[in-house]
Amino acid sequence: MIDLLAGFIQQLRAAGLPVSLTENLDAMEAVRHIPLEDREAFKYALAATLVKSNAHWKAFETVFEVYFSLRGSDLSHGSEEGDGQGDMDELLERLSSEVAAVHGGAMEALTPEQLAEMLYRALQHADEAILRALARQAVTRFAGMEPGRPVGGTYYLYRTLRNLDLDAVLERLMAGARDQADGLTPLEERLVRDEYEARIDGLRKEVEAEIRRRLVMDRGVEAMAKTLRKPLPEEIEFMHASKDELAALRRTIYPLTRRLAVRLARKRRHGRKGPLDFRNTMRHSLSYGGVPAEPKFRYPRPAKPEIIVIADISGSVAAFARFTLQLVYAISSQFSKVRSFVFIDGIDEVTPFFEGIEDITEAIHRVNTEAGSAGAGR
Amino acid sequence: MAPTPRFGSVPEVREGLRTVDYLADEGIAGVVYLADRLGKPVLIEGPAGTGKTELGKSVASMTGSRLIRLQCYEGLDESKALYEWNYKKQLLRIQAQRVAEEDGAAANWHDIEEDIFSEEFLLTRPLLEAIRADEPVVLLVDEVDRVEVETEALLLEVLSDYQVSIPELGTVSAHQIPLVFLTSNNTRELSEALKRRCLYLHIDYPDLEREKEIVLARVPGISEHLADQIVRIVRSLRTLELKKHPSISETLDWARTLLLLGLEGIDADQAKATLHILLKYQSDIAKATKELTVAEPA
Repeated sequence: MIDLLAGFIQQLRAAGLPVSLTENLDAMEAVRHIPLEDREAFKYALAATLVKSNAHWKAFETVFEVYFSLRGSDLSHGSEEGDGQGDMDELLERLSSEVAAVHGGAMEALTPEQLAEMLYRALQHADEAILRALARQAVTRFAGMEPGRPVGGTYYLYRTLRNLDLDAVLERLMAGARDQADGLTPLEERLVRDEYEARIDGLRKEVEAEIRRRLVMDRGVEAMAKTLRKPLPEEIEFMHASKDELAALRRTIYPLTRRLAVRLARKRRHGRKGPLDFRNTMRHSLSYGGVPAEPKFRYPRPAKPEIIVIADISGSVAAFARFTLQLVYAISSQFSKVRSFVFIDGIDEVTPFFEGIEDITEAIHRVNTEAGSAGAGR
Repeated sequence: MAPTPRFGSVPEVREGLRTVDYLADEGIAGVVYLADRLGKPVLIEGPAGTGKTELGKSVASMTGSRLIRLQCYEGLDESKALYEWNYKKQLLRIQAQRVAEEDGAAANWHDIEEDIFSEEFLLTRPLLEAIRADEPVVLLVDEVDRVEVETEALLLEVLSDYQVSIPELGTVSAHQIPLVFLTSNNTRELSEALKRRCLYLHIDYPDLEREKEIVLARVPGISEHLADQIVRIVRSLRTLELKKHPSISETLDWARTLLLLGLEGIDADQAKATLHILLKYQSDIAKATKELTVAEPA
């Protein structure tokens, strides 16, 4: 058991998670209190002691899934293979009856059209068991996995999903819902779409897990843990970030600006106390029998500077300019006046765009669309 | 160091929390159970309004313990969190001594010093109070991310050894290990030292079924149909890129409002009219209104 955990922690460290010795000991202590046959509880016990930041949760989950996927049996918890087999048999029975109801034929013999039909029905009724079986079937059929082939899991995932054509399925589901209800109000339509999207997302995750399981079987745990490693959010490079990653970055930056503002405001308030207010101190000392127990100070009156921002918003540095503007406006309470100018080859004042708008991204959007042409020096 | 455990098993924690109308998932119950067994504090992070503070309160009422709460803010210091000498009273004590001297009593500096640094002149603040309590207590340190990094160090001794050192008095150790919950809205990264001493729990927005259960449990008299519609609209809103996503508490407020208005189902107009309960920024409301009414291009 100790060896097993030590190996797991080794993998976590390899994935870039900082795991200290104390946390290691805590984890060992924690698993003693948890029933080992409960896989979920085991996972949460490890997570609570080893992962100390939500950003690392994904990495932890991946390493956990991979590392403990095949050892299930010798840990006696969640012996997935055995249970899985039992489930599978039962499932296959249900499936074949379902299939028989539709077309009459075993799963392997299904034509792609029949498979798509089953997928459609399963998604419509949110039948998780069938969806899981379908995910397996889809991977077998479409991923084209070959043992020992040095390709990443994302490649297989892409191949499988392309063949399933989930976008078309979503459209069909929507059409089905519309027919059923004789036309939907926009609100209902949106809710139904969200529901189906969530289900399809579940299917996608199922496919991903299935591919991972097979890759682990093929290559072994240690090798897989290495290839599956995803970069942690703090390691993303600004210039090469994808759209999702940029959104994540923005979310990280937003509290940062607020934090700066709070901190500066606090420095102003407490950092430099005003001079001693002798009168006030004496007046208060009366209540302590003439002893000046509570010194009073005058309020400081710091000077606030004016600031002028000149931002280059041409394509190559636009992302940085955006960040700077966001920062300046977050701490604008620290300045008596903020004026901002943008330029590409001519310069233009954009201060009014930021007035009375609380959503800085919208203001920046307006700068780009409305002032953009003027900024281009016409 | 091993007191009698409060809980027997994880499901027991979960059931217990359910009786006080807090619907915990597997992870939350597991961490609370471990916190008790290992005698470690729990650091709870997550978006605002997902029931972090509520968890602390619920655990207190479930175990029948007293809740001691320390609300953190910028500029919180030792004298507000740990203890403070009541120096006004000390001054009075010295003055009284001087009056006594004039009447001819002998002045003994050592006695006075002993006297003014005794428990009588000590003002206990939440952390010390939790340590000194004889009955079981739950200590809730709320929004710990608001204090500065330097002030965080104040908490360390309390959290790891459950003791407070007062130079003039000595060390005060805990009679019983309190259950400690720290909540953080993640406005800044907490120090490694603090994190290392805690179990970590991240509470995110619940999934559809759990949120519906929460609405049904917390808003008496709401119909299943309405609750279902509410949580589905809320989920829809959470997929948008908003400044502040609707939290569970706002969902509950919204559900209560709709119930008061006597609505059985929500259509787009009613949703729009009451949107300001869910969203607190004008720009967010404008965006959501647009998204909810205009159908996406099919």
